[in-house]
Amino acid sequence: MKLNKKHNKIEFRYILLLLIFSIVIIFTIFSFIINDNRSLSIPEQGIKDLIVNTQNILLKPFRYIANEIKDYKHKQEIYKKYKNNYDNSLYDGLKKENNELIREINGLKNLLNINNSYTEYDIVNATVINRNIGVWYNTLTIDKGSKDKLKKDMIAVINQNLIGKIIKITYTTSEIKLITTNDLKSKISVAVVNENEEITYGLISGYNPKSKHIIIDSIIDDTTINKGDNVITSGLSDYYPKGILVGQVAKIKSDELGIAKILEVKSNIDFNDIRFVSILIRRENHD
Amino acid sequence: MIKVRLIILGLSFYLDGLLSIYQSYSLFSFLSFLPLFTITSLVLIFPYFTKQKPYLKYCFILGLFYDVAYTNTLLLNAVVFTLIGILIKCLYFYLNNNFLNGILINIITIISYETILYLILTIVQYLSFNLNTFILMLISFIITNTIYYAIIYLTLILLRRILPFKSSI
Repeated sequence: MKLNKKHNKIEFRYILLLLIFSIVIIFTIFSFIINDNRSLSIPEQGIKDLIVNTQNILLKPFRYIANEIKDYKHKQEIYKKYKNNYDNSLYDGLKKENNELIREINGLKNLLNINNSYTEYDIVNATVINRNIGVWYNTLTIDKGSKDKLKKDMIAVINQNLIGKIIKITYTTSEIKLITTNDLKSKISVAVVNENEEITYGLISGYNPKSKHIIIDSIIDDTTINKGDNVITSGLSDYYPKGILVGQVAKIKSDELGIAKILEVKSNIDFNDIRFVSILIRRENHD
Repeated sequence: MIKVRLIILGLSFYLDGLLSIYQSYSLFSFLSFLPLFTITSLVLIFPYFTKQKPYLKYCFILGLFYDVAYTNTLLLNAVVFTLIGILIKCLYFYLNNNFLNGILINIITIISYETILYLILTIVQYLSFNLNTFILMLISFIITNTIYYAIIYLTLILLRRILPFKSSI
């Protein structure tokens, strides 16, 4: 009897050891799998392309209807706004203003072509197929992939505002990691430019979902930072070129030790409602 | 003939992707529309399995497809879905199959799935731990998926009256 009890105790120890060892192995495997730098294997790419493209086809009619409804509502708003105020003089006034605005826009377009920081990039526009499934990964899937000359680590923007970079790519789709992630390994170097054109460097470290502000920390410099200062990419990293707008400073506070500053930055983009993105492809003949 | 459980699984799987772009729509001021229909479908189809072993195979394969198509974390959801399948089996062992019990099992399943996933992502240092965010997201998941469970469950009851199914579908 005593021998049997000892035998059972020994067995239980081995089982416990095996369990602990298995848990360690599993978590080690997970740490390799849950890694944005991992490239997708060919079978993974094939299955993902098949499923996501089928979704895209199924989504098209719903997207068309949603756009038509949005368009109709917008037209109704304009009609209601001008319905009671319509007269010929107002129409003439608006027409004149419209022509002036068109002239101004054309002038600015010419200016932008000369000084445009994106002359070294081609732009590929894409539609968002799905987003953020599982919530914690903060990603978007778009309908352009390696067949459209996209590559990993290319930058995604909306109206010249930074939103993220491509982390995974297949033949027909790409996955973009948003800058609003709380991923500990994704920190982006940025520069805060004040009204005197003085630059302070910091890191995007997270996102506050309540205030919808991007959090920037590690600001140790004594340079004056004010609300409304522009925050742009610093160009110090290999992936993010210099000068892409991130947002404007909305709040300034000190960290717990009172040594460094923490900024909350308001982006011009509503990260909860992204339907179309632009991918920047660096031109190969640019020096 | 395609089995109804495959239709439920397939429909839920695709709806997860299709409706994910509408996460910006708020249920209330602080809660979002967060679908997790794939997990809810596992709760819905279990009572229609006469044998238990194929159910866990369905969980594993569905988890694998979920990994490849949506999260790019090969095997993570395959393992977690299988664990959730075992949990659903245990819950249905102790609770009868009716509407209210089904909702309760659905809620427990969603809480377990999100807790396990969040802990794994925090332990491998993919995310920083934030209890407030986690609880808010959890509430959003529970509300969205309870509504989905109710709709599909009641639809199945109605269909069973109109077109009598076999007990195993």
